Amino acid sequence: MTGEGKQMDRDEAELLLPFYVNGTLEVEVREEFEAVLAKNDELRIQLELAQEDREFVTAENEAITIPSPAKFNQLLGENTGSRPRANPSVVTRILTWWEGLPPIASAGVAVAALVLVLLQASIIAGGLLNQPTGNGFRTASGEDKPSVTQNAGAFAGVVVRFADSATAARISDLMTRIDAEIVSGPRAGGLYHVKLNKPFETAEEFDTFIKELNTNSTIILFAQKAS
Amino acid sequence: MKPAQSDTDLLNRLAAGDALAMKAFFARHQAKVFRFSMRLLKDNMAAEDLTNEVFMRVWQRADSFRGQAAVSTWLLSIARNMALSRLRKRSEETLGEGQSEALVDDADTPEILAQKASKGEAIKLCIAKLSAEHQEIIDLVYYHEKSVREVGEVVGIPDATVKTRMFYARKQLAELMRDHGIDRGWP
Repeated sequence: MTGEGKQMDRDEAELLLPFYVNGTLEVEVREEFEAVLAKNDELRIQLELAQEDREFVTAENEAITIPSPAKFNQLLGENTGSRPRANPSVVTRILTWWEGLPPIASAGVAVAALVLVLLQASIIAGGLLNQPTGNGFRTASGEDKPSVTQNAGAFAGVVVRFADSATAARISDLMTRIDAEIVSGPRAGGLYHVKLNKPFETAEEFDTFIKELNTNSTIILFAQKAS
Repeated sequence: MKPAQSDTDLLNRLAAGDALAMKAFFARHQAKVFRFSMRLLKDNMAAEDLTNEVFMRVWQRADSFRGQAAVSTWLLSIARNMALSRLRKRSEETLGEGQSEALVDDADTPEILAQKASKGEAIKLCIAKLSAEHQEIIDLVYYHEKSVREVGEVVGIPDATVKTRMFYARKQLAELMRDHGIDRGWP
């Protein structure tokens, strides 16, 4: 299907032909294209021309000499000292971390995952991550702080439920990378409150962050703003 | 062997002020950004300056990358916006030397063209005769290997327009080739 709920016709195939040539069609669309192509001689002629054009365009581009990086390095050197040293955004840090995760193991580790869930619960309860004291939480220095929901930044509190397959190590790693800590939980439904040590300044940034948290189910089943 | 760092990892590092990461990021993407800038500005010096400015902007604003597009698509979008801004500034001026050199001599007959140019050279000359819009989309699709959606993101047009613009660019190219004595059997 072409993504519009109809079979691909010759005209649509003609429009998609250059994207078949450059290899960017999705598998399903590519297969449809090939089915149309097999029945159409003129389309095959166009395909050959497009492949030829692509080769020439690529060769032409690659013949362009690239300037030395010297000028850029000089510019960079002049601007390094005065550059505002921005912290990488939390979203960027999460993306980096997602990229580094190994593929999800599935059936073969089901039993191990069950054990890990129990381990996760016991480790969290045991104080690997900060435990609440009363209505608040304890920092690494041992100082009691009030609960995130009481007076932390407006965009600093998140309620999450971790995936069953999430290990304590991965959760701890995530907390480090997003500069956050678990301040209470588990509560009903296996929910934990997470506090971001560097609150977002705008609701838009915070929404994006929540969205990113929800895009990878290997660690977090769902996340939402703390009320 | 140590695996190459991902673009996101490099962006993360350069956002934190790591100049070495910036140099690595530049080395990885400079060629494509420069060649795209050349396509738009048709001037070697201007393209080099533009490319450096694109990467300096990345250096200053690396944390603005949201991961909604591929890094290369994001860079081409920045380059295009900056190039258009420059072109607007000089739109009232007459054609610069670099542009004049890039244009094809219309006095060439098919025979002369055939004598002095191979088929590849003819394609190159005919592409140079296409409109800026058509040259740009051919470059994005064939050289930069962008999808329909990515071209739309760089150029700022809907998917349907991307497809039809590319179709007419191909058709125009084939017609120019035919006009120059090279009939390729389509259209």
